[in-house]
Amino acid sequence: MIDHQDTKQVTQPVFYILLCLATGEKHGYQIMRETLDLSEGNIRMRNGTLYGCIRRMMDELLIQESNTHDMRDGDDERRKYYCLTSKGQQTLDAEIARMKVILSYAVKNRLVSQYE
Amino acid sequence: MSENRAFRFYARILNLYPRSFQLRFKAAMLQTFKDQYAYTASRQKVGMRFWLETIGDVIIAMIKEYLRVSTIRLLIGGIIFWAIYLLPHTPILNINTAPSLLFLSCITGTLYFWWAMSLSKVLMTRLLLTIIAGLGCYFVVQLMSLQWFGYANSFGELLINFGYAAMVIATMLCFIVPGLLLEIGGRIIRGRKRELLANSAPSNKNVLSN
Repeated sequence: MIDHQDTKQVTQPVFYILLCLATGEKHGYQIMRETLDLSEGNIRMRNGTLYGCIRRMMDELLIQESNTHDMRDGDDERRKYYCLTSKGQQTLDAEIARMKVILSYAVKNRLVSQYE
Repeated sequence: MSENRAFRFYARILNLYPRSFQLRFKAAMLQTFKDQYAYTASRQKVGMRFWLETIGDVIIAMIKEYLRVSTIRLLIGGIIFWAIYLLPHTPILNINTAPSLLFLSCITGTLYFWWAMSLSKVLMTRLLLTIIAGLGCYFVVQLMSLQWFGYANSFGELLINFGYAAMVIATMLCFIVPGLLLEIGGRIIRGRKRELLANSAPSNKNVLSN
């Protein structure tokens, strides 16, 4: 059971970055592309915004630089890979749980159909 | 613009970031820019729109980073504060009132900033709320002093007082108080958090398998 009170709500770009990293470690450009795809083009992060978010998330210990990443062929060593921390995973779980509550309310009150 | 020139140009822009940020992210940002440039160039001509979006984004992000850096914030705050202080004929700021104003601004500024932190996660919104709260309260006090104590001789004089004080308070709230708080408290807290993380963080594989 996730305790919603223990985690604070996150902004949309932060949520999408957490979501991207939940499926595995990624570098900056992969995060940028996947965020764009996941949000269906609504969250278009450029370099400055992305690394500003990454810096804040690292300071808040939501993500960290991956030290387990093995360099694949063609990988530039300047690429940094990021992964979720346990706190980041908890925050993402709490955020998804919040969304579930909202969605179930919408379904229960038949609010969803008008958006389908 | 050729590819190499574009990368060199972007690297120069990144040199304008605060040094601490550059050390952590410059190489990775440059690499991400290369990936992004290559992707855009493979689909279409890299035009003015790409550059306007890229540079505009970097400038906004850079300003945010500079506002975070406590040393710069303190420096800017100090310069603005003393520039206002040294203005001739300031009706409210003089050698007698400056220390008490400084002290009061620090205390009220900190309180307003804490209040604003509970309302917003965005730094600029917090600062804006802090300034609005500070100015609102100050204006009420000024009105009361006009009404009850005859502190200012007219409404016009009150507005001039208000304007000068507003500049001082805004400077204090935007730069000096958060700067000091970051300088004193931020490093200690971040240091402890990193220690905790180093001791307790599971490896990435464990996190993902949970």
